Amino acid sequence: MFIHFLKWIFCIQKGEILSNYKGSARWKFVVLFSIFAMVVVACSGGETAEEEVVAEETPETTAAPATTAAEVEEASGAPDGVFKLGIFSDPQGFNIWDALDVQQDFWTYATLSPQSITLFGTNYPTYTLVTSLASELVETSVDNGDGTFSYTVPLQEGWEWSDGEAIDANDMVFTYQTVRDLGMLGAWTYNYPLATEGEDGTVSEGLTNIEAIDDYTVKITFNFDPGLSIWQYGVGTASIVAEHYWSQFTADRETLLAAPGEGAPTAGPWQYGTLESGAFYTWEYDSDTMWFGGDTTVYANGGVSYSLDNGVAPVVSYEFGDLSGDTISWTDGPFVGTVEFSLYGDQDAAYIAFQAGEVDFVINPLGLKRNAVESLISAGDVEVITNQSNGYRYMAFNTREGAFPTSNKEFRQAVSCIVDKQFVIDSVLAGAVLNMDGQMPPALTSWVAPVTGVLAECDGLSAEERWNKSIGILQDGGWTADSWGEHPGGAERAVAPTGLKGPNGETMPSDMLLYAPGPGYDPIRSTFSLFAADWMQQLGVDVIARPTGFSVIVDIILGEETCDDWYFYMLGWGLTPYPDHIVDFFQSDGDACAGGINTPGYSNPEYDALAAEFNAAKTVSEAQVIANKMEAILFDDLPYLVLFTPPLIEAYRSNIEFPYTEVLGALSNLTGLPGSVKVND
Amino acid sequence: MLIYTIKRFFEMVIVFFLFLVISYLLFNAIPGNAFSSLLLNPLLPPEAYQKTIEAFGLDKPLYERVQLYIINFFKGDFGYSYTYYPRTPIDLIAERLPRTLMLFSIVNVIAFYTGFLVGKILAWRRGSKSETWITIGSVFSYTVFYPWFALMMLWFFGYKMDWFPLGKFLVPEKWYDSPYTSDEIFYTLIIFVTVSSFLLFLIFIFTRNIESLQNRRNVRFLGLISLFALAATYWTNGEAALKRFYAADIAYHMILPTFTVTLVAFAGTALLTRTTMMEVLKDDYILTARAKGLSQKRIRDRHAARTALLPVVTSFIFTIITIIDGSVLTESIFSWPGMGQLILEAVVQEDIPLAMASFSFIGILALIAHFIADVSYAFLDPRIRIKSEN
Repeated sequence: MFIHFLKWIFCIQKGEILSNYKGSARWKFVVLFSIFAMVVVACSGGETAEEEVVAEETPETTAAPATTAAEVEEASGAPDGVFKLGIFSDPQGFNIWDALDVQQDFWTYATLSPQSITLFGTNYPTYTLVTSLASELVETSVDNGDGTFSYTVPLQEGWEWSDGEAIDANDMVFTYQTVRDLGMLGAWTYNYPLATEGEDGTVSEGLTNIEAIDDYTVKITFNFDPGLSIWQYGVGTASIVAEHYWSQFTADRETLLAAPGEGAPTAGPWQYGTLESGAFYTWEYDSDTMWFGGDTTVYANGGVSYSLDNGVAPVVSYEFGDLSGDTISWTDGPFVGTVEFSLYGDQDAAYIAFQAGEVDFVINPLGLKRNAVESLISAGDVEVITNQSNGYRYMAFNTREGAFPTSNKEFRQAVSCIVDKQFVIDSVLAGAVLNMDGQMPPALTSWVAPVTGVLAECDGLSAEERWNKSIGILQDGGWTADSWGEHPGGAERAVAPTGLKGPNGETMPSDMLLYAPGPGYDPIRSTFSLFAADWMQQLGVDVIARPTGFSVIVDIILGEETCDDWYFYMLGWGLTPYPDHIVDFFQSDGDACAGGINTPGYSNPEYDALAAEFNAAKTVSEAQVIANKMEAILFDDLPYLVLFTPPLIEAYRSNIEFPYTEVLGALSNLTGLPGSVKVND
Repeated sequence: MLIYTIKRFFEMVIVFFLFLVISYLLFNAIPGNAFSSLLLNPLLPPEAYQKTIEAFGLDKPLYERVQLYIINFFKGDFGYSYTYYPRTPIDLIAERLPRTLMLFSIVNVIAFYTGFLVGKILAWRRGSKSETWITIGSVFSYTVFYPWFALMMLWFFGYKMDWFPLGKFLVPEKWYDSPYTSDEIFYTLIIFVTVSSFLLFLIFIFTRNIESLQNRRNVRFLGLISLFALAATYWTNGEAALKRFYAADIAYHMILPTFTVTLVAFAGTALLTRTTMMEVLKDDYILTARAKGLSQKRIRDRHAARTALLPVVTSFIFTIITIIDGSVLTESIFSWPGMGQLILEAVVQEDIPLAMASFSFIGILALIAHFIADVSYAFLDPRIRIKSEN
């Protein structure tokens, strides 16, 4: 190719036609010389390079410490093979302190080596709370009698960081003290929710101390009696890092965040291998690891049983949840020696690489575009899976007093009834998304409450019936109109009511806006907003859909001066494994105008009381009962009209074997399960 | 001339100051900030966002931030990147710059050179079928929707034909045990290409006065052969021999993006050269040259093309800026992590310090390029100088 290029340059420079040049003496000379140069380049110097590589490799082989773990691995055959993952963005660093601080970037966390451990963990795909470093799932606190409550947690003995140092209570104490003393931000603030004194002298509810009773027992003290969200799913799942490594960087926050994470000890089978910024990153199997093996069985009703007896790590066995129903079982790996995260500039480039077999799986938290699925399947040797995302899209009403008409419950009910979500999903979006009514993702079956209120009553009605029902709701709510209009039936638009007035004679505002992301950002929500606005217009409401930038909507609904200056908007939420969003989104204390995320400004004392109960719940089953009651209130008050949940489509190469493929939030959110995936030949 | 130069320099300083202030204000006009996403995290206590904002100084009034930024800028303090905290923008630019320099300097030189040669031939062959078709092809290249075209190139040559890699600048497996980082290899490649280009330039300069066309060609050819021999010697000895394997991997990955961008970029230069050269060919001195009985090639290459080169070189000076900012689209589609991607990321994530540092860097280079062009013009054309001084 290079020769052709030369030829071309020469010919053009001479202004000759290419054919005139071919066969000339100079051409032959160029060819001969180029071949000679290539032979020289290919033959000479190669030996030097090889010698260097050998010289680099030899000490590594001899230096490998022959620990028990290594022997076991040798006997069973250390895993080899590479699991290749495509990613779209560079991680922002390799330091866990930084990754959990203000950045909280998905890609940073996805490629972060296992530099921490937690007391409890979430088992996937069931989302069941299980033990991790803690040897038992401590659910009850001890009242210390001075207004504080403590949890005393025994830890597993014999667990070690990758460098052989013991993982013990002092690591947790160190992590807590560092978060407290250096003022760590981001995820650290909710992992370790410190009790802080406000300007007015009041002390917030939070963590007051973590101490080591002995090397394998920690005592965690709060100034209140916390429930699941703060204890089990809060401090219980907080990251604990290796004191013996990180303590050398705790001079100040900046030093800690800048510390090298590449060499940090891990609590898992992986350590960083090659880190080539902007290109790829690898995790290499740690031949000395004790973190391998383990048999897991998950049950259809959410239970999980686990046993680990690999001859190196201490024997562990536990069972949690409802152990009934169908089961899936697997043995953990790792079954590959290297996990490679390969960086691509955008999704299209990544999926072309996937088609060409460069990567086995593309980590894509937003899922594959529907129009790309066919071409991937046609490439062959590809499996496509669809999972529900752990989140939803919704339309919010401003429920604050004075925000007429959205502050009126009957109005919200009428709008929620007339918006035919299933019609848009089936007829317009061709089933691209899944209808959702409540706050809980349908996959969390034990959390899902039965749909009640107008959403249940209007389900399955025709357009005419919905319109009639909505008008009826308004009339029953004391609304008046100069003319109530009529629906001609079928698919025709209704003749909208005129002179609509609220129950207290309030005049309907004009030119109301329904903010929604534009079609470039999210065509589905954009489409929904157009239909929703049209249906509202048929109810005599002067509203138009306004495509708006995501950041602009966020600025409006969360801005101090604008938080109550809107009527409707459409956005979405991604949810956490423990669904306590039902509190955060609607508790009156969390009004967005007061710095929270209750954007509708919803306020209902009955709901607040249940939210407090939910926060204090000590067990999942207790929390589920309360959540159902809260949902029933929300179905009646409708501060949100939950619209849909987008499915997450993923593809992987046929030679890849995952222990399971059905999981809420999809495999991408579990980083493609590198610890248990098998790469077959 | 000196007064003109000083005047232009001060104008440049004022423009740069305005550039800094307006850029900063524009970035701040984007809704939200780099930490807005924290507001949407249900788990985060409300005060945590405020603490973050305070920690990064975003709670201060805008005028105070602008003032502080400009003072710190001239002290050489660019602050910390919001997204890559606690890394500094300079650190990030230093990491990404070699990759962009390597790719886009080569692309620009090839595109410019090819464009100039094609444009020259087009003007010379005016009215011929080849002129029509090449002009149509050039206009297509010039106006094609680049993201589509680049993806098609990637799909066809990378995926369908399997001739070139599908983006990135290396094959990961080859680098697992590499004793070098890619940046070290990039630096080596940049030095190699710079020295080679310089030597090539010297060969051209020292042979340009050889009167006999045949002799000139022969000497240049020998020079080129010697350059190849030198290159072969360099890459087969010492540390370069160890780096060769990795350098070859990067070079191989550069072929498709270079080819793609060249196909699009050469057309602008070709069309500009064609137009300029067609004007020049109407001049009297060309007629004189013909009357003297000079050969067609000599008239074209040594009389017409040299005059036509002036506006093309000016255009090339301005394209130097694109060497630095790279091409956001090219870098995204070919997964080439250079300055373009860094700038895109900084703007999307509202990482103001990083975006400002990147834009300032490009701004300075743009101003210097304009300054050089202006001063050169004044030097070459006394009318500009006199007008300015009056």
